[in-house]
Amino acid sequence: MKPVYILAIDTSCDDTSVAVLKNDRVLSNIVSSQLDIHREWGGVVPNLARREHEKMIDGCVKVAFKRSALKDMKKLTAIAVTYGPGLAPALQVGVTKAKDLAEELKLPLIAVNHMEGHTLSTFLKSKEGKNYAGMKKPKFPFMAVCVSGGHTEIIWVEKIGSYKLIGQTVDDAAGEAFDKVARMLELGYPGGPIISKLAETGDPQRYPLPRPMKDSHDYNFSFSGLKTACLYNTNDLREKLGKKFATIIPDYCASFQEAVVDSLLIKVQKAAKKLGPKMIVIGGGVSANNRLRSKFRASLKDLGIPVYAPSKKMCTDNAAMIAIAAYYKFLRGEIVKDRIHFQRDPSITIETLRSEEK
Amino acid sequence: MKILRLTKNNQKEIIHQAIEVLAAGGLVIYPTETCYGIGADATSQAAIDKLLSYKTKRKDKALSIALTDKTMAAKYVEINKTAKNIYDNFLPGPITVVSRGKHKLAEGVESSMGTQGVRIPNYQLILDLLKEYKKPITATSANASYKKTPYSIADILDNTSKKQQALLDLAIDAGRLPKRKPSTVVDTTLDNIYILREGSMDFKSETVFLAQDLKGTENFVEKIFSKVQKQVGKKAIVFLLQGDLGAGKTHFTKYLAKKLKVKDMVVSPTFTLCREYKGHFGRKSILLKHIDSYRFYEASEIEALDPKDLFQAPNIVVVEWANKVKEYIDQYLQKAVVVKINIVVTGETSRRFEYEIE
Repeated sequence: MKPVYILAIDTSCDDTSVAVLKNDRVLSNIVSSQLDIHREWGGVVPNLARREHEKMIDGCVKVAFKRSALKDMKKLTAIAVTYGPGLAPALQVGVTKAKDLAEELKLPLIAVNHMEGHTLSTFLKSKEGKNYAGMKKPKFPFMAVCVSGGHTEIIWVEKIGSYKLIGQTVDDAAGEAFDKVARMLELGYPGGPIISKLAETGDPQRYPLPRPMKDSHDYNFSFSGLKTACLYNTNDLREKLGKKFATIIPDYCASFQEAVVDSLLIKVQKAAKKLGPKMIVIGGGVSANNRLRSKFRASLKDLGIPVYAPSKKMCTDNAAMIAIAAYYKFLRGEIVKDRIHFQRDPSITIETLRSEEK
Repeated sequence: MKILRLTKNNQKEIIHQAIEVLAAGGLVIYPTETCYGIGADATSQAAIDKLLSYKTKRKDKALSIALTDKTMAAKYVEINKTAKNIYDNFLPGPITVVSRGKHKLAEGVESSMGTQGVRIPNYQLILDLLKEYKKPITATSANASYKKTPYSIADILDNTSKKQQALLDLAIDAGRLPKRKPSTVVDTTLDNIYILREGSMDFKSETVFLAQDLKGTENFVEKIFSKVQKQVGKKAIVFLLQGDLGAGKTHFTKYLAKKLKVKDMVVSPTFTLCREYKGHFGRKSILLKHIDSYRFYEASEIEALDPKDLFQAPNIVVVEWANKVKEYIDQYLQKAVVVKINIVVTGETSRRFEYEIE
């Protein structure tokens, strides 16, 4: 079979990302925040917002295509784009660009759910065909745990393309808890990497923090309560310790990180015991956390379930994961038929099917 | 390129030679506690231009700088409370702190957003060198574009062209460095415009509602909504919420959503900035838009949410951390019904709601 070349665009939230894949292999994957794209493509604009996808998109497409070394845009097989969930005006930029490209190059257009991208991010391979997550052959059914700044979900995957949302946060996402606790500890943004870094030398048992909803009879999570507990707790400690407060930050980071990882793991283990998945994949920004990776692996090994995590670059939002979801959709023949009426849908879930797909 | 092998006895000589090269606008490869970095005088345009031609494809990236301490950093970047916390307690070490730059460095060092990353490497030789040189040097890793992180001089030589190597003047060879991850980057600039405990909103004449528990919050939502419900569908209804972390801003929105017969789970909009839900009141269909400006760097970023469209009937809009954007969005609220609410935490579950309907 002829190789499938897909150019995919993701503009669901902060980052503009464009990737080019050959089947399931990543030829290029550009993320705007990792690039000072204004410098290369537009020069300096005063008060430049960081989320101006419109100003980023053309530059990102150009760079991604150039780095794919495909040379001729006509070599592409299809264009793919995230149509939801996410921020409506941001999604709009990607959808419009993808429609234009598909029209201009006379290529099929594929609509991808952002959460399907995270779910399949462990399937990505390098240019040379090496699976980044070290997964030899996917086994079905499996469970995907998607944990980021905006989502905390457990997804049941019967086969590629068939998803059921079995658990989710009822308030804040896990990544958001990292950001807000980092703010309380005055550690800057984003909270995940710095908390994880400082936790390396900390004692995870030092500060007992709640594992909210650990006894609830579902697979849902809550991180708002943990955030509030940390707020009262750190205020008290700050008052008590004064200037010495800084010395406990590593222990506090470790204790907080442990609470998040445990809260996630408790529900994942519960679901795994009940449903018996053949493997568990993780994805989303928080899946880059080393403690989460190692504790998940160790704990689920006891149940005989392997855990796979994407390469760190593929954890946060990126278009390579959108392209791989699109690749499987292309193989199934799921392309957008009615392009004129095709539009973004900011509040879809992983279970939502587009009207054409029903 | 001259390669100087670092021994116990030649540190002074090496520092002396490195400073000569730096002062002449040259490039120096140097060891750090993470990997080999490449140093150029960050205040010299000729040196930075030379570095950028070595980095070839990396022209689209800002360059972080290495310096000795907080006092030296304060000459080049604005140090806020969060940055101070990190400088005082966790540096020197493998953390890059991003602050607002003071535009005193050569062009191409700061990002096009005007931010600057600063490193204080935990490597005595380099700290001594910087102390003597008295100017910051670049702290980018010494690899050529997209090549592997260099832990030895050979890693660099094996992955660069003759042309690139000709640009290098001096390498300080400390042998093979232990493989440590690149530094963790934290952005402290989000804290520039407001702090965690920002003041409450100003009212012309406020009314107070006391809630003992969550049921009380629900009663408050009932009460406040009854005062504006006549306008549903005719005008946009905008709730501006202000209150500390954990005050219950999302809870308020959950009850409002319940009142509006929203079926989906209302979760925190912090990461996506805006979430929208379909609902209805009586026979009128509405869209509930839940906005959080917590992650905005500046108020004008609300433009990314298409505010003209946002603040139109039949939308019902809740804005969390409203103080951050209140003045800016005034221009869009002329025809809307605006309800300003302060949520004050008075106990673990009790809240005082201060409000005013404009």
